[in-house]
Amino acid sequence: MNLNTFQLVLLLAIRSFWDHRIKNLVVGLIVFFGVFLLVSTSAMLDSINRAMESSITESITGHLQIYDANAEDKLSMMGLAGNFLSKPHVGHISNFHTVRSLVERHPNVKAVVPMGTDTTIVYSGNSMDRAVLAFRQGYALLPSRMSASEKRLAMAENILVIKRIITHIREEYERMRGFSTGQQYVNDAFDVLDKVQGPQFWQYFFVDASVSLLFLETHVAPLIDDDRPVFMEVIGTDLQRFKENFSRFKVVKGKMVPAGRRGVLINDEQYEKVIKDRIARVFDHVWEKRTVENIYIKDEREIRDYIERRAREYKQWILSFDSLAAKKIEQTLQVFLNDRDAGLDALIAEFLALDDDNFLERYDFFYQNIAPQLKLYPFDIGDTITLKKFGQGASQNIIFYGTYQFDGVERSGFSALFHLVDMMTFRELYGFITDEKRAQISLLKEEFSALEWARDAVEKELFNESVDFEGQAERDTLDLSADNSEYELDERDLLARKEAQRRSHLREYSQQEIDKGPVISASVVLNDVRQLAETQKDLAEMLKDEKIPVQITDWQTASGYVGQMINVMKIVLLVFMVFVFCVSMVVVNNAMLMSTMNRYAEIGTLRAIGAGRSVIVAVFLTETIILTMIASVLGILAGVALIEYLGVIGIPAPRFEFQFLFGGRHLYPFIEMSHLYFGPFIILLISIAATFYPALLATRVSPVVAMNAGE
Amino acid sequence: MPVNECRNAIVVLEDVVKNYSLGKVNVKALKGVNLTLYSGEFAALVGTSGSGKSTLLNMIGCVDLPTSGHVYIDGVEIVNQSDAALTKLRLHKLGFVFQSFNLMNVLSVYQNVELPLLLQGGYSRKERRMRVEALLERVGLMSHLSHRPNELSGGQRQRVSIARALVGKPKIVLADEPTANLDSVTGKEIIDLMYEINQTEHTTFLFSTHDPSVVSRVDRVISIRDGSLREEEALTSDSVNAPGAIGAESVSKTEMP
Repeated sequence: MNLNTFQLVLLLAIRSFWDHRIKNLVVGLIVFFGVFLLVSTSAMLDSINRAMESSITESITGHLQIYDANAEDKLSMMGLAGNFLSKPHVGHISNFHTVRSLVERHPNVKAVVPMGTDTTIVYSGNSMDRAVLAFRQGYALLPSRMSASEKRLAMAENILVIKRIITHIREEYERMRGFSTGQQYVNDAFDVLDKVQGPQFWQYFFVDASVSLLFLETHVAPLIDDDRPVFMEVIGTDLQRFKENFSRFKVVKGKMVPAGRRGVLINDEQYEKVIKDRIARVFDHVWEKRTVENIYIKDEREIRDYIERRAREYKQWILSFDSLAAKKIEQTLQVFLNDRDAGLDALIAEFLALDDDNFLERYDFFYQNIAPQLKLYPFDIGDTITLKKFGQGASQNIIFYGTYQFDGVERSGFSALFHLVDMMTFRELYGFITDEKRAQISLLKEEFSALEWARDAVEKELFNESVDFEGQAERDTLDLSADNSEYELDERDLLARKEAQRRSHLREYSQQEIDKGPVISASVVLNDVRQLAETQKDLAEMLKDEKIPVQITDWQTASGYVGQMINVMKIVLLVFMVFVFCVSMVVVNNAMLMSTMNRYAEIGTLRAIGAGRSVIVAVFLTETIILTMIASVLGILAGVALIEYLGVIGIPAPRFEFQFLFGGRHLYPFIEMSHLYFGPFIILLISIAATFYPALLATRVSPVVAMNAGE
Repeated sequence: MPVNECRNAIVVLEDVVKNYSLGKVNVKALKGVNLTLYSGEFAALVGTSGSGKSTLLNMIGCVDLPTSGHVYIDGVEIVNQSDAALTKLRLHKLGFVFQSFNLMNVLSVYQNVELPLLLQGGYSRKERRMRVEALLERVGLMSHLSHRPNELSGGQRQRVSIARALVGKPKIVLADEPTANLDSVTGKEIIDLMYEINQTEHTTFLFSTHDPSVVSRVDRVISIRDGSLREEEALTSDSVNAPGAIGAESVSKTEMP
């Protein structure tokens, strides 16, 4: 085709525009909306991606993650959540210090934070644990000169509590024996109960109270499950560095774990929404709906169902009251509900029948009169709680310093998955035994050996036989790495470790101690995120040169399925688009075909007077390209306008869960040049594809048609 | 001017047969036509509707191919030629004037006439303008250069169409019922114009018509009926008007199954 012909083609295409306005309108609209959709959604997706990146990188993963090169599975920070049964094997970094000092040399690295995640069960302790703890605290205050009998008198009330609990346990097991005879664990339980209910146990209790209390903790406490164990994912980290480098981190209640100290920070959302007293949560929920979201009980079935469901469980709730509290609550409710004869059950049932009219009054009443009688949280700030590694026995008592949140995404659900523990505790929880720990244990073992005579004597008198620590030891076995396997855990170990733990709570750890030791992974926070890929490559080489057996991955991969969510969204969108485009292609195709049929005479004439098939195809394609370009430009403008507008006003997160995707309470989408190419390009391809068939048909139009036209 | 002075053949048809199938019916549109058209001739093809007139023009116009037989345009056999070759042939050697004018309404009068030159390519803008303007001058439409065809009368449109047919300097102009959509006065004017061009430029014309009145001006009348020719060479004005001169050839049956 020569230049003159091209001129002609262009002329025909442009001049024909109005003649084919119906087709052009249909096709143009489809192209317009297609481009508009593609431009705005790709901008939205990228915005969400960026927001999510901020949600993740500023709260948990950092920008890069370094972990064991020999890991069998991929590191996945968030993929762990809810995955209790098959923990991925991600190995560990044997010395965090070497990695940190090396990686921090890179100019783009702001900080390296040690990390590890694990699933734990949090015991606030069951009634026996709490009773023993109370005993210990009271006992520690007694003057050491006191005689055993004086001590016994001073601790009488505590002893009574413990005895009452044991009686309660026996009742439970009697009941259990009724329908499960011959179960070994039931028989074992009775053996233990027989011992602690026998006269000797209490007679010799104060000979060595620590041993007696230990027995109660290790043998009796496990027999009851009246505590509320909470499954939770913990992140073990250097808490100070975490605070400094993850900008979204903020302590909400209580205080930050002091530098170098052991401690746990509970996620505020989970503390309020999962751990808190269940009825208190009902009042909180309805209050929040009403005051924050302006949704009343009558407006939402979900709220009504929630209230009803919880109200139905009121008997269970009442059981958690102690007798004094129950009495007080009964009295105040009788006055409040003006029903002096009603019992507690009826009063509570009546009180929990909430509606929009009585709610505010009852909410105030609940927090003024009922809540003070209750333990609103199984553990309060300042309490010592027990973290137990899920599946294995290793457990750690640890001080609960406060609650924290990740700012902006605190209500998104995602951030409520994790609680933060100090690195030292995490290592022990996870099963790492450091040199320091090993030395400490062996030292303590010697200490205990010196006391052996005393304990032997006590035990003989107490139980008339040696305590079977073996079974317990098995259950309590640490996840020892190979080089620790020589440690046979016997009772001495158990005692030594308990004591070591108790002492370690009082210690302050140096930065060196925190750094020198194994970690699961290391989060790298960068100064300039845009250079992520380059930095990742540099660091990989640096680590490889030093022969440190680790690998490095970006946040998106490291955050597991959450980080991949954006890709899933992209795929879903793509599938949707493909579907939409198939439909539009059919429509475009039809519009073109119809217009082709109307143009038979014109095409025939062109053919007759000497236009080749290529000219016909060119006319069609040129028309399509011009139309697509005009509609695309309009579509781009509309898309840019929309995103720019939304970028100014912000899209509020429709639900709290969206905070994570939105990187906060609002998503402020942005648009970049890169969003503008893809859509129009795809659309152009599609419209050209849709033009081909009509164009092909047009080339088959015989010039004879021109002769017959108008006849 | 005597017709037989320059006798080089532009179009030669040998035993051209054309069969169509209209549904289940086989129509024999041309039944072994032999015809030679010479350079500078001004010939009319007459016949009733369905006589095979259009089919014959299509053969000569290279827009349709015969079922059997040979068609030579300027010495080139068109049977077995590719579509591209035939297109090129039409572009360079043939000019078309259509019954319904078939102008591009989206283009101006000037652009319509210029169109074949653009398709041919290789002309400068200046050359094109000279050619186009000369022809529009010739057909009397210089004052309507930038009009759109639908702003013109039928006669004016057909003049544009003639200018377009001539602009590529074809060997022969084929006009299919050029006056059918015009009133008799305008029709006569168009025939006059074509004749005048034939006389002054020696352009070869072949046009079909079923209007007896226009036949008075032609050198040669080729009569077709039921797919066969009966030619009346060098008719004089008198003989054209003789009764039975047109369509009086021997009757041949239309084959019907």
